[in-house]
Amino acid sequence: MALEIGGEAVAAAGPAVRLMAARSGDSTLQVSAEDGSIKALHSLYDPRAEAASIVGRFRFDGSGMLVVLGLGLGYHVAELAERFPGAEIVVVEAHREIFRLHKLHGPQLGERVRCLVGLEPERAVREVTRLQLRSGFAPLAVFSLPPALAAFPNYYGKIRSSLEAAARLRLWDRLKYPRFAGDPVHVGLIDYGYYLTNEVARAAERSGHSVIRIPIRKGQEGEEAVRILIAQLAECRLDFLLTINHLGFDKAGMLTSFLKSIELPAAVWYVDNPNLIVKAFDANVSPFVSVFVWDRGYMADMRAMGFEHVVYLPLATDEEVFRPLRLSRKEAEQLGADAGFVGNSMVGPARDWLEKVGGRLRPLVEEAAEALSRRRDSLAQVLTSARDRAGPAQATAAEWLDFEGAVLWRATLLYRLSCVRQLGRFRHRICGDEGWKSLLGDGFRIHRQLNYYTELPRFYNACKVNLNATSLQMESAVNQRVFDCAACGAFLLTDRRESLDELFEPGRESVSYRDAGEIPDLIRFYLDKPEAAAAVVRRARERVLREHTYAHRLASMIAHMKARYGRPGAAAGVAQAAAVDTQYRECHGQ
Amino acid sequence: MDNDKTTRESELLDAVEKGLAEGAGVAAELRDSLLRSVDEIRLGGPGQGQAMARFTQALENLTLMTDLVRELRKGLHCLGIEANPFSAWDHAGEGLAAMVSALENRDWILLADTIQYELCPLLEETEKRAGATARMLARWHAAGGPAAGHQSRSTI
Repeated sequence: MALEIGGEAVAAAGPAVRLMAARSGDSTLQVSAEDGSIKALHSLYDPRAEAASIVGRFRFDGSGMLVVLGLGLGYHVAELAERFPGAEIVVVEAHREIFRLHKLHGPQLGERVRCLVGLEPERAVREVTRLQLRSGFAPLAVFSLPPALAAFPNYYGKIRSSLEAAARLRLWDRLKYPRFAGDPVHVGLIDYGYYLTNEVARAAERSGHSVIRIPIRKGQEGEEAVRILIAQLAECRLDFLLTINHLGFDKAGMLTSFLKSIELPAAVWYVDNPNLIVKAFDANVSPFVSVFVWDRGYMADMRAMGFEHVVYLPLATDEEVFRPLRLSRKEAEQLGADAGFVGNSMVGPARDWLEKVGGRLRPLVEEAAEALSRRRDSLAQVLTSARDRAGPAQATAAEWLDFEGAVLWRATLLYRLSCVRQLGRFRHRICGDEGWKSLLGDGFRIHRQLNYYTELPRFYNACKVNLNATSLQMESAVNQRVFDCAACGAFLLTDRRESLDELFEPGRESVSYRDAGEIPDLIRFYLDKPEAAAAVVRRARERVLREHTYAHRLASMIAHMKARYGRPGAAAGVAQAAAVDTQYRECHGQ
Repeated sequence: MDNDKTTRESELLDAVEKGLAEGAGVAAELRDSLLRSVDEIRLGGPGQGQAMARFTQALENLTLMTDLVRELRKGLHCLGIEANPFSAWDHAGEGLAAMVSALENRDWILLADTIQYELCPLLEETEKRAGATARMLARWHAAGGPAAGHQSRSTI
């Protein structure tokens, strides 16, 4: 069954159409043409043989999108569909009456064939372009039904000229230039307004690479994003596209398909739980998308989803924003404290995610969150236990993802609260959202949120001990604060994470607690021994400048991308691997 | 007198025999040329100009062919031979009228159809039957031709 996209009629009165029996017994059509003459749209003797003959002379490699101008009764379309099973076929038919007769008297066309019926030529071209974008900007070929073109030259002629010009351009071929062919590397950075975007851009530019920002905002994902990218690609030969947390990509995978069609690789740097972002949207899995995760704990999940290239890339810092600052005594008193904490209470996110959870699973959230907040069980263990508790009333994958989000944010709230409460006995300062007031109550000095770029570096510099309580969405990673605080030359007391010891030498470059109960003693110790704190701070900052700036991360990412996509023939190899993977999935019904 | 008549008949037989053979050859050439043009005419693409030029030339040859058919019919009649290898031409007018209409309307499908399904079969038939008749006349000629008398003509 062909999909039809209706629209306004081309003319109020269509042409006179005469349905006739051909000598072969099939139906055939005659129409009154634009010039008033009567013309046959198919052979009056054997329309099927005619279709086989004219299609047999059509030169087409069978891939991409084939636009057929003129449906008639559809004999040629059926022949094209049979001969080119790999092509996506779009038929443009000027007249609704002809389409109606095709449905009644023509051969059946499969699902693969779409019909655009009764659209003005300009709109028909726009629709074809839209469909082409949706299919990942597949190569375009045009087949004209000759008598339809002869009968309605003003209609089909305009469309054919536009489409053939586009087909001749073969934009996708022009966009398939070798990647990473020279220096500097041209990075296309999706600018979604996310905080990390500026840091990444500055780091890349400081390292001598060229950064082209691609502004894509919420609501522009999909077709619009592809259009914006094409406009940029016309200006600059990007080596790869970079985004944070898959921002700018659409759930249906349109941008991913486009990147695959032009073999432009993308690096997605996850700095938040990827399961909550991409796990339900496997159309975004592609061999041309490399996933960089800040937390090793999610690498297995991403590989299980089908991403072939998954790399661990921890967070870092912008050492020009976060640096030691000379504060006046007055400023230090106004801003700082003996013990400080800055961060979100998670009251808002926990409430929002809980609202997403359906009635069957909601009662399980609190218990799971408590278990996770005490860091008694891992997230995987907590989720397994919840599934067992849910019993036969199983939920959908999307519902479990909402459950996971609700548990994570609620657990983080409980965990952070247990840590931040320990500051009550010191001269402290807590900066964050309004949620802290309801959680902590009286007896705590709670201040507004701080500007990340202008106020936070001063805050770190002003506090003698900065407390860190990592969000529990991170299974093993450390957060931004670990790098930012160290870069400021400020002391940080952080919670023990698996990755912390890889990034900083324990005791010499970092000080950590395992349990919230250890926090008061550790704070007291380093308040009493400022020289010990200063030694840790000095070594931590040296380590950051040596290994943990965004420039280091960008260098690592570019090296990985170059190794995978920059070799001669690398794109072809990746594409071939993709084809094999597709065949495998089809064979195994995946 | 009889000898003169026999000589004239023998010359006519000679001419008809050659005319039939030539007609069969022309029909075959015409058919091949037209068949080569049919797809191009249907497709209406860049090759259509050349195909139409071939078709115009074929039309001129067809006119000559029509004259030849008329003369050969007369010749066979004069020889008293009952065979009619050109009987299909009795209805050729309809196909030719359809071609004229198709050309006027620039209806290339109808034109190609008429060439492929009307004219080419007519030429194929002509080629076969004119050739067969020519071969039979040749055999009769070898057996004595008109001098062999009336009896033998009826077997042709």
